[in-house]
Amino acid sequence: MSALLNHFDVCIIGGGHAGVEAAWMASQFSELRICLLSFPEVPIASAPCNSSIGGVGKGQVVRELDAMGGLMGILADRAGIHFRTLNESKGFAVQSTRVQIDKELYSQYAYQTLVGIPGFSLRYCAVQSIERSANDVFQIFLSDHESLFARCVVVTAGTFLGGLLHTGPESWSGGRYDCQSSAGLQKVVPFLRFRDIRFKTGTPPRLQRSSIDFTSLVPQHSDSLASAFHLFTPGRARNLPQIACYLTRTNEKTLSIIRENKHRSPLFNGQIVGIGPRYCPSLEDKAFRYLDRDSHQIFLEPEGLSTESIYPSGISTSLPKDVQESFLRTISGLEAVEIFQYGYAVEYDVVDTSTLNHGLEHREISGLFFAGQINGTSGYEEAAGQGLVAGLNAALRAQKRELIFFDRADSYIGVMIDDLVSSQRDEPYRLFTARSENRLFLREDNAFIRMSKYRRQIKLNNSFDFRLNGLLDEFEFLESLVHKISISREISDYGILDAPLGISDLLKRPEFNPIKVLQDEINRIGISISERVVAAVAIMIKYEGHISRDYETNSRFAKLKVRAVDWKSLMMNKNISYECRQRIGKFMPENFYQLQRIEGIRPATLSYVAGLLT
Amino acid sequence: MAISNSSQNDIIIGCSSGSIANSAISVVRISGFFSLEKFQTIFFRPLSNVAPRKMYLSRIIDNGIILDDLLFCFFQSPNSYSGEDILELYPHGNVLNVRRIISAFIKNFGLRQAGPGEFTFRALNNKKLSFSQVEGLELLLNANSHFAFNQGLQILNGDLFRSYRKLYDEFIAIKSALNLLIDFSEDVGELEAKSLLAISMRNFGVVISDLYHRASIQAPAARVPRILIFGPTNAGKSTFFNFILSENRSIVSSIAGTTRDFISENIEIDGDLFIFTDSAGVRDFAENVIEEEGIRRSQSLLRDSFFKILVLSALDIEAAFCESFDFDLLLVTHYELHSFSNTQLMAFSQRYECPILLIGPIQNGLGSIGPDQQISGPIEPALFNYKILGAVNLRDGSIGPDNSDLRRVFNELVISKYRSIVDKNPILVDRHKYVISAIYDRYISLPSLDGCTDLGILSNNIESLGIVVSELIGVVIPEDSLDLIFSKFCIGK
Repeated sequence: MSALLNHFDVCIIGGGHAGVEAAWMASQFSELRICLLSFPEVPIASAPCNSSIGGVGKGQVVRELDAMGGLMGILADRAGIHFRTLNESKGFAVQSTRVQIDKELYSQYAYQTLVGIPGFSLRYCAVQSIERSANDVFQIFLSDHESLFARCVVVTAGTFLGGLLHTGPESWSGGRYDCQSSAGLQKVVPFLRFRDIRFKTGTPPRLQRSSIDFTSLVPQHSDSLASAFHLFTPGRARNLPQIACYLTRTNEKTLSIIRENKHRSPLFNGQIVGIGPRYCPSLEDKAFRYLDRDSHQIFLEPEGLSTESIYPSGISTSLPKDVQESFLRTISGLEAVEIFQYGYAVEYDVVDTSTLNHGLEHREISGLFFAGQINGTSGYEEAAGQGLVAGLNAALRAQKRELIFFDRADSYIGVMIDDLVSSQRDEPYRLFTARSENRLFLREDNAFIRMSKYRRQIKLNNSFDFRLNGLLDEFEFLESLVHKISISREISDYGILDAPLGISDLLKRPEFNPIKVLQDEINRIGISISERVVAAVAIMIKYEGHISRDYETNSRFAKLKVRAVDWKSLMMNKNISYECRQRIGKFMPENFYQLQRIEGIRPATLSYVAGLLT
Repeated sequence: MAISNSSQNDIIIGCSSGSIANSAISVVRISGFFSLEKFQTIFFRPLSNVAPRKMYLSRIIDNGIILDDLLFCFFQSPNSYSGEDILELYPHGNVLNVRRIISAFIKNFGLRQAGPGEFTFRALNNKKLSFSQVEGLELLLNANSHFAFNQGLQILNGDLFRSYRKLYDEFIAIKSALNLLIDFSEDVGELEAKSLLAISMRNFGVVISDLYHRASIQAPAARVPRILIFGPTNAGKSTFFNFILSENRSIVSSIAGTTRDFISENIEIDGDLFIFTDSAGVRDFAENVIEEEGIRRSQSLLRDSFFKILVLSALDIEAAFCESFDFDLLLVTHYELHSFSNTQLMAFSQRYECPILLIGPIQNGLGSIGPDQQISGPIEPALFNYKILGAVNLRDGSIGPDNSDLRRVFNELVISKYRSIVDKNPILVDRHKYVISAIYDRYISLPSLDGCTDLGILSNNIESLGIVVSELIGVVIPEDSLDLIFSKFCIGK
């Protein structure tokens, strides 16, 4: 291989959801040479845990990615075999899309998409270590004794760095069930000092479809009205045949088997030291933490159209194999279940994200980026969101352009990055809507409007931008139109009107569906507007009064939020409780906002510190 | 100038005690960052070896003129009230002497006269006091009642704050429940998450309603309890006023903020201070049209007084039937000139929900209370020849001659009404009252949980609720409340 062929602008280590998104984003910069390194045994963009993309908060991220020209939404639409809108009855602001995918096809589509890009190369091999060589270039040593040079490196190694798997008493090193792991983080990146902390996550056993009795279970069908992710896919288009999921529950018997075997659980007998996600607890966690509950929902989700494997959502476990079998068989429909693959837990090294900037680049080492599960997050969408940020900024860095940072005020991606880099995490991070202060504004329907300013900043000006601009023009047109037209009294669809009523007033009324009203009125006028634009305008108008009020009240807080906090002096302040001082010392907040976000900080401390600042 | 805009680098001087009236010893404070030797030229005693927090005696000399022999004490930063260097002087408390000493310091060393509350403002700036402690301090210093003083103390030591913490905890519960319903209803179950939210909102409602109740109790009564006498001229208001004053007058004399239309004095009943106001000179009745300003002022007086006594001559009582008043005691004078049936009296008492005392001259007839006795100023109690001829007691509905002493009846009625107010534990700090009612308003305008509530809007409302809740516990202090509170401080504090 010639020396030149071994030189890249951006090298991405790891072909998971973060790596794929980073590679896709960076390779849109047509002048750059991009390389993706992936383990040979693992398919690109594989889904080793649940088989769905999206969900509450996460669906918003997928739409944000999509509006940035990302890949995840396109792949999920194509591989989708079950679509749903979550929180459908709870108002537009908190609605989210979730798509279950055929895992195999998803990987296949990802592979096909990437390999066709000019300037992009995919290489299957393990990384031994990364070294800094002269001229601000990284040298990457590979397991096949070769090495690569790259101006920017994006590390998206997932659970593979120092990965350790557990099922009952057995534990073995590996990144996942069917694959080896690589050396620990410290070995791979020897020139950086890492925080000595490990996280753990787990996955449930997979069940044999033919061994399940579905007749007694409640089916949940794919929603044909749920809107596909990609901006330019018609909302109701479906690429693949749709399947049903089934609902069952754990019962007292199930939980008592788990409780009897507490001493055999690696989570509770000391075998696993990594910290697990509080917001995605294992079944053991649920059984021991919520002693008064005797039943939990389980969704049985097929992992694909052609596979026998069923994913039982909500019962991730690392109990010994015999215990897994016996508790599963107490569950309705699973009386004769055969296990396809046992559940296990995985422990892995994580990066201290407080050492990264808002572009996910290391604060001290220019050109070195980290994204995905290695940053201590859980979830494909979180990984992909970071992958996009890191890949985009690595490309910008390689071109010596200014980095692009996402504000937490206008995207969940921004919320996530800000949460990650502004303090140390001590448990796996999962995104949900409560992480945002701006829930009413960060919606799925307006993602393409919220993200457009960032997309413009990239200045790619390709066909995606052309189509996006068309949509934005339509949005602007409809928005101004809505404020001009009113409904005359002769139209009785909305009850008796005392006087002609502006459409915008009508859209705010809680008794009407604003999207339907606006669509009907547009039809009445006889113009044609894209469905997504109609929804975005209708929902925007419905909420606009609330959002501006929100902004006003928040701005008073904003003044305080940015005030600098001297955490070192707080550590010595006896007016602050010992416990709070411990936490302050751990998270080292630089401003009031960061202080406020530290979990476990008492209001007394906040009010005391606020007093110091004013 | 607002205190938050005043220069923080000046050395300031102010008299903390003894600037208005002569006293034995006065306290003059100097605060800022300085070395004590700066003032050597004025002190006879060498200042180089003065240890902090010890008392010294020295002569003060300005340009060869001896000003005073005084004690002084030096508090070195940060161990002082304001957190800065403080020099405290204890001169003889003659007002002229104090002024002369302060001028000498200003003239010789370029000090600046402190504004109201400026020492405390610096204490706040230097983290010696929290904002809510400042609020407590203000209440404590300006308290006109034991109740207000105690509440000031409670704020200063953090007790009241603890009861606000409960509200904050309930708020956090709402927020978690809502987040559970939006983000984790698949894990927790829709119904369970919904009922958790409903319960937490109800619990918050209980706590805020109680606070709101306490905050909306008419505060002037607990903070500045005013008793008002009103009624037409020649009814005997001033006579009654002087009669009560003759025994209850408090040693505290001057009352700030009294308009000259009214005569006010401090009186003491059962150890509590009250402001006793005679609205003589203001005619409340419509037929006597006086200037609007006077009416407006007497109306605000009526509104701010917690105990109102209507004094009527028996001859006016028919006319008074047509007016609508609100009062706590009706005194009918010149009762001998007109008599009423018991039924009439009962009806009257029930209509106004108040006791009635009927007063007339002692039978031996030294004459009624004549206009010549209505001049304000102390009148010998002996000149008020009254006798309670009848009383209508609302509580037990009894009518008939009552031998009780007028002064005792008055004291009992005032104290029982006052207690009934302070027993409800009203919140006195204006900012707290305002913020609590803002929280309450936002709470009651939350959409109900039935049907298809838009949780996005609900969560938005709850976020904005959270901001006012944070304001209550003092996490956020709007700048204007800073200026407002310091304007109520005296100079030297």
